[in-house]
This record gives sequence, C-alpha cells and structure tokens, in this order.
Amino acid sequence: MSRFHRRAFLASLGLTAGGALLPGIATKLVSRAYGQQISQKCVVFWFIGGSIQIQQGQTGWGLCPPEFAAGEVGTGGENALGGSTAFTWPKKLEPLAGLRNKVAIVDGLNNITPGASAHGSGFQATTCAPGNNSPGGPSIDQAIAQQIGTQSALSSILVGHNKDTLQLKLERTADSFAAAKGSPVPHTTSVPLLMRELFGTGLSGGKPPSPKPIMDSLRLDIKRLESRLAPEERGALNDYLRLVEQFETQQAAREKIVCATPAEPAASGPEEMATAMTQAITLAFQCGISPVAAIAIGTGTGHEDMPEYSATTGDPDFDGHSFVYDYSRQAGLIQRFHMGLIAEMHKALGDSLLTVYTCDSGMAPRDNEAGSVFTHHAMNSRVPAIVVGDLGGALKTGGRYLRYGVKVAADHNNGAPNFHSIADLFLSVAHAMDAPLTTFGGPQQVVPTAGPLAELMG
Amino acid sequence: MRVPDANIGCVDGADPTISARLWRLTRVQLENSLRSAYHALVPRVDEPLKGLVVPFGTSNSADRFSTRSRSYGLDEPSFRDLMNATGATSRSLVSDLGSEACVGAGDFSSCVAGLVAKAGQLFFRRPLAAAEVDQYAQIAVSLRPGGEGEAVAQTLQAMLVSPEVNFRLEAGPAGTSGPMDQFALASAISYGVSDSPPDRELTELAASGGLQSEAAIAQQVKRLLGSSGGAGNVDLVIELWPLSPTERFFREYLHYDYTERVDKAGDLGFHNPGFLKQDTRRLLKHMLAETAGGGLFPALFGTKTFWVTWETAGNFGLSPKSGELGNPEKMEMPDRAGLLTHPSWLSGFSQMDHNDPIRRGRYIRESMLCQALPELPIGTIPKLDIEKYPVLREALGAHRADPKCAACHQLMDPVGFAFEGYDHVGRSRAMEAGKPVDASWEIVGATEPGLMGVHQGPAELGERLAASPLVARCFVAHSFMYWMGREPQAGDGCTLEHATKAFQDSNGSYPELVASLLSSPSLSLRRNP
Repeated sequence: MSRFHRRAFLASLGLTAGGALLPGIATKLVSRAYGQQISQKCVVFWFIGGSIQIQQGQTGWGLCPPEFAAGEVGTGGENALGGSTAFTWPKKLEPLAGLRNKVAIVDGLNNITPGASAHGSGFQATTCAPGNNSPGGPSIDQAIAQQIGTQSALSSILVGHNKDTLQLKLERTADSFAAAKGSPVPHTTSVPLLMRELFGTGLSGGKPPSPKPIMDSLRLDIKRLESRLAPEERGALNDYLRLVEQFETQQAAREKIVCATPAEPAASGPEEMATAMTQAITLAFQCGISPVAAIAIGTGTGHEDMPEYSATTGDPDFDGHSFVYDYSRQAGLIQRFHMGLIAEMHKALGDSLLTVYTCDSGMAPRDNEAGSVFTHHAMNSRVPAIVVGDLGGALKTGGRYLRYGVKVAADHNNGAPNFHSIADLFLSVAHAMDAPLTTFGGPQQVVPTAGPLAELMG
Repeated sequence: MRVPDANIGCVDGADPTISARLWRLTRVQLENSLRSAYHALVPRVDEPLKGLVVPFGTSNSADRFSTRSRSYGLDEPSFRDLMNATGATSRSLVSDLGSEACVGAGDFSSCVAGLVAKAGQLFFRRPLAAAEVDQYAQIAVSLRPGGEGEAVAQTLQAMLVSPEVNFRLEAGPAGTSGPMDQFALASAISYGVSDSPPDRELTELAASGGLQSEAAIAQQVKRLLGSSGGAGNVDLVIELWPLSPTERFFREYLHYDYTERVDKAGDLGFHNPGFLKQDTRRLLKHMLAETAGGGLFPALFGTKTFWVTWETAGNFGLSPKSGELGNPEKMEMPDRAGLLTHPSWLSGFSQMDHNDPIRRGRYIRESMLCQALPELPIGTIPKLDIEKYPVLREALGAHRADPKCAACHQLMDPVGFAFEGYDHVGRSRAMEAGKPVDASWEIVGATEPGLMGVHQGPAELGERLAASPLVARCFVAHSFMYWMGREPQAGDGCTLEHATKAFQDSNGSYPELVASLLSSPSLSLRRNP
C-alpha cells in the first residue's frame, strides 16, 4: 500500500494550511485526490432502507447472480459457498465492475432477532439486537469506532438521509446508530452541518485554546451532581464524563491534523447529498480525521423512509416500499447509483478502504416484482451484503459470490452447518479493521454469532 | 407506541415520589436560556446570539411524546456542538460586557467572583454556593496570564457547559424524600409551560419559598399559560415560530403533522401538507384560546369551524376563484366534525392513494381509549384483494374473515370506518368505487354504554368521544406523559384522578388540567440519595 502524506498531498494541491477555497470546489478537491492513498485503514458501512432485492425477478435487478438462483434455498449450504467467481455480474453492481476482484457478494446471512419490534428496522439492523424506540446495544460502526477511533479527531463519521430528514430539513436524526444499549448516536443529515463538523474548526494547524481548565471544572460539576442522583439516574452524567475524556483526546488529535477546509458543496436532492457526503467522508479519511464512517439512507422505523431519488429512478412518487410494483427496478437504480459513489471512494482510497453495503432490517423481497416471497423485518433469514475492498489482503473478497444459510427451520437452524448471521459478517469486518470483537449483538446476544466468516477472512 | 394506563386508581397511601432526576433541555429551551441570560447581563443587546448553532435538536421520533425525559442523554455530536455554542456565547459576552467583563479591573479576582455570581444565578437558575463561585472564579485567575478576556470567556464557558445548566436537576436536599428544591421546581414549571427559564416573578417566589402550596404553583402555571391557554400569540403560525409546549402536546397527541410524511400519488395540483399543518395549527391556537375557560372536548371533537387558505382549499373540496377566499378564511364546514376530520389528520392517516382505516382505528384505540395494540406480527404479509373488493371496507372485511387477522383488525378497522366519508387527502366523498360510502362504525368490545353499538359518521363518533369518561381519563393520562416526561405509575393514581376532576369540573379547561398536573405531588416529590 502506498503511503500518503497529508501535508504533502495538500501542498501538491496548492492548499496550504488555512487556504481558502472557492464555493463548489469540494468536488474538484476530492476528485483531484483520487489516486492518493493513505496508510490508515478505513471502513464505511452503508445501511439502506427498503431492502435490497435478492432475486432477479422480472426486471433482472436482483443481487443473486442468475447462475445461482435455482438453489435459492439450499439444504446444506451446497450453493457456491466456496465462493464462485464465474457468474453474471449483477446490474446494480455495474459501477463496481472495474473493482470486481475486490468485491464479494455475501448472501444468506441471518438476522432473525427474537424479541425484535416489527418496524424497528434502523437500530435492529445496525445493532443485531431488538430495539425500536431505543437501541438494544451498540451499532457495529460504533463498536469498531470504540476500539480504533478513540484516538482520532472524530471516532466516527455518521451521515445519511431519509424521507423525513429531507422533507423536514432536519440536521440530525437518531434512528440508526448507537454507542450502547439505550444510547443512540445521531447521524448528520445536512451537508452544511457535516462540512462544519469535519472541516469547520481546528483543522488549520492553529492551536485552539486549551479546554483543560473547562474540562477540569466540568469533572467537578459532574462529581457534585452524581452524589445527588441515584445510580440508575446517572446515565446522562456518565455520558458527560465519557465525552469529556473523549473530547480532550479528540482535541489533541485534531491539533495534529493539517488539512485544508474545503468549501461547502451545493447539495439539495438526495443524489447530490449522497455524493457530497461520500466526498466529504473521502476527504476526511484522507485527512485522518476518523477511520470509521456509517451511512444510513432511507432507514428508520417504517417501510417508506427511502427518499425518492427521482433524478435516478425517474419516478417522483417512489415510496421505497417493496410491495410496490416496479420496486426492485427503482431500488436497483438507486443502489447502482450508490455503487458509483462507492467505486469513486475506492478509487480515491485504494486498499485502505473497506465498504460494507447492506440493508436495514426492512423487508428483503425475493422472487418477482411486488414479490411473492417476503421476509419481513427482523425475520430476515437471507440478508444480502456487498463487501468492497480487501484491506490489502485482510479479507478475501476476490470477486466471489458467497452463499450462506440453510433452509430455515423452526429453531432458525442455530448451530446448523453454514448457518451464519449478519453479526458474523460484522465481526469479520471488525477483525479486518484490527478491532477483534468476539461477539456482537447486544447484551443478550439475540442474534447468534459464530465468529468471523472463515470464507471471507484473509 | 407507548400507551399510558388510563385506569390507575387513587389509592390511599400510594406514593408518587420518584427518584431525583436530570432532564435535558431541548434545543429551544437551551437557546431561550442562553438568550435570556445574555440579555439580562447585557440588556442593550436586543437579539443576542443570532445564528448560534445550539445542540439538542434531535428527538426520538419513536417515543409517544418528545418530552420523555429518559430518552435524552448526551452524545458525541451534541457535546461538540455544546462546546462550540458555549465558546461562542462566552466570547461574545466578554466582548459585549466591555468593562463589566473585568478586563483591566483593578481587583481582577473580586470582579470575576462578582461576575460569576451574577452570571451563575442566570445560567444555573439558582444562586451559586460560595464554593461554586470560587471554583469558577479560580479558572479566570489561573488563566489570567494568557489574557484577561480569554480567561473570563473560559470561565463563563466552564459554567455554561455544566450539566446543571444544560439539564434540569429535579432534586431536593440530600438524604430526604419530599418536595424538590424551590428553584428546581420553578425551572420545572417554567421550562415545562413556556420552554424558557423562570422569569423574575417565579425566581423571586422560589427565593422566598413561595412555591410550597399546590395553589401557589397552580397559579403560576396558569399565569405562564396566559390568556390564550398556552397557545401563545394566536396569529403567529409561521413555521419558524416555535410551537409552545401546549401546542406541541396537541400536535404530538393528534399527529396532524403526519400529513407531511405521506406522499400522495399523482399530481393532485392542490395538496400542500405544509399549509395543511399550518391551518391546523391556526385552528388549534384559536381553539385553545377560546376554550381556556372550558369546552375543549366539544370543540376538539366537534368543531365545524375551520381555517382555510388558498393553498388548502382543495383538500376541503373547495375550488375558490381568485379573490373569493381570504387568506386565511374562517369557514363553517357542515360536513366536518372536529380535528380528526381536518384534512391534515385525514391525509396523514391515509396511504398514498387510499384511506387507511386500520391506522385511523389504531389511533382511536391507542390515543383516545388507551388500549395498546400489538404491532404487525413478524413474518406477516398483509395483502388486500382490492381487485375482487374495490371498496376498501369490503376488502378489509374479507381480510378479517381470517381469524388470525381478525383478532387485531376487529379492534381497528370498524372504528376507523367512521372517516370513510373523506378520501385520502381529506375531501368529502359520497361514493367509493361506484358505491355509496358506508361510514358506519363500531368500537368492538366497548364496555362504556356511550361507546357501544353501531353508529354513523365522524360527528357521532366525536360526540361520543367527547362525552366519554374513558376518553377523558385517557386524555389526562396522555397529558401526564407529556408534561411529566414519564409514564404514570401506580403511585400517580390520585394525580390522574385529581387532574381528571379538574378538567371535568372546569367543563374541559386545558389550563386547569395542566395546572393540576404540574402542581401535583407527582411532579414535586423526589427521593434524594
């Protein structure tokens, strides 16, 4: 992996510390950065609402290659588990064709979440634990960030948008990611706010005033208040204390970063927002601001949270509901658009970047349009995921189609051969990112984990 | 959805005391607090802190009410915003305070101690103890060599980021179980009713121990609610003007803003959810002001007076010509009855292209009758045979023929049919798929005589809901949840009963209900470690 020197990179662009950029230049900035690689491993999780169509159906927008469709529900994992590379490249992955040998299509992972709420699709997908109103555990991005992001200027970058955040012009929403059970972490849904968070202050190489006296005083205040509250009421104070420590570490990390402040890109529709957000993440990775990002698009607590993406689908009424006829073609177009963004990020970051693209725990339609077979909410026994990148050999993606799962029985086949949950994929990613988590899925371990996926680990 | 228990009885000896707690301010409350303190310190600055980015803008949309205290902690992005906002505020304050910021003062440490005490009273909504004044003043003294202005700014910031400033502490003396501190009570009332820190009258009352009796507290609550019954200025309905806490309760209770969440199929040419929301807000403001002395339920469930604008006329089935309609126009709508027949509610509780009697019925069950219903079972594939049964009522009837579906749907669909006389954007209609609309409804399993039987249309539903003791109790229980920031528990039975009585004895005055709740032991009593 070639090494990338942030200061040298910026100097090469003529963007010395504090250099002002003209409006709209962020896009150019990132595009000029493509080809530059960094030494730090970075991961981006994408969680997509409304589901990812698995089978080809009538429109041919499915993820499962047609060569393997016949064995849709295998009985012993006989279906290409070894990882075939000879298959028709799915239409929705077209932009990744140039990176094909760095991609793995992972099919058949289980996300059956006993006790889950039927519509808790945001938190449940990211945490592998029940939780609709409130998360049941940390989300995978935060679990990894807590291990490898604590010394960074930001432990993670969380962004996204859904129908509500666009319509109501929300700057943040808190329906997908979590630091711990009961502790949601909001993600940024506004491009201007994201730009401020990433590049707004403290990146000019100058030294901001030391917050130490403020933090010391704050510790005294917290201690004083603790004595006035019963232990079960101290959650907010514990958060405060943790964040004080984290803030100090982040400030110290931020002071070491020398990175230009890009101007804010214009972004109004979902396509432009997604583009601006992924470009901002790319630049933030290049600047060393954080090693972890997560993107939630169309996630939430219902079926119809996916924004229209009308410029992509041509349908201003696309409601993101997989019952709707023509859903898989339209969703496929949106997902292909996302793949284009992912391809650009990988071009920019090379072997340093790992991407996991999967759906929230909404429905996963199979079969035909307005499908005849649905797996509903947290009953998904066949969650699809696309993994892009191999982190220089930490993962064996290799252009393979990996099919897990066996015919679902009443006991959900826990422990059966080839039974693996989405949590196992998350563990694989964590290990590849040097965050060796041993379990994942909330305190009760409701989604079983059997460890990283051996077929995927390098 | 969290549904409160409307049937908790008042039992002798039941204890409503809860643990001392922290309750995070909302963005509006924090913004008001910063501006109010700023203005008190620098009166010549009329509109301080313009453009300040204040944290705490997110709420958990899955909660029944946005005020649920346990839902709010602190997260990484909010803490960053808090640091930025308090840093900007304190530096701006030092600049605007001029010589009062102690820069160049002869006795710097005494000056700073005085400033800390004065600002602390405003920031913390209580006088600071001497040790606290000393703690903060020491920051300025220690940082003075680096510049007095920055030293004072960091001192003020240290105070502003304190959890007691950004959260409200509801606690009493250590080791006791009894009324919370008077200043804490003043804040609880003031932020609860007005989203703002206590004003001078409330602060002085707290300082003199004048918030001991329920009557004194209730009087303050009613004063803060004002003559408009908590609706604020009835003519201010623009989006940028924040809703008052009372307005917010009704929006969250009725969910009329759901109209913005349901896209409608096709190009209707008239459906403007933002304007519908605004019309509803205007209607509610006037209704709250007019019923401050009583009569809320008949108005809420039966009003035939609606506010219409050019942008919303189509949803009311009107096609005015230019100049025929004021903006807004107050109109009598004989075909409607109450807020649940407002196009905002009807379109929000609909699908893209058809009505949704299931969700409408579920809403009545959960929000009006306090009966929780299970979510759609995992693995269920709901399918209606619309081709065979183009009339939705008939399709749902066929759906309920399956006993597995009927168990829940019989509780929702039959009462949701009351609104079949309107379409999915709120227009009145007489026909559906070529057949006359059937808007008969039934609350299956109702045990209250007034709610039993089969009836016709929304007007009759409204009349019966308005007259129902169960609906009143359920409304009070929801109000409890909203104003107390928690679900009622067994010990709160007397509070619920007294509040229901206050509401009924006043012939349905919402300020009386709120005053009863906020002056109750359920708010004031705290167990302190």
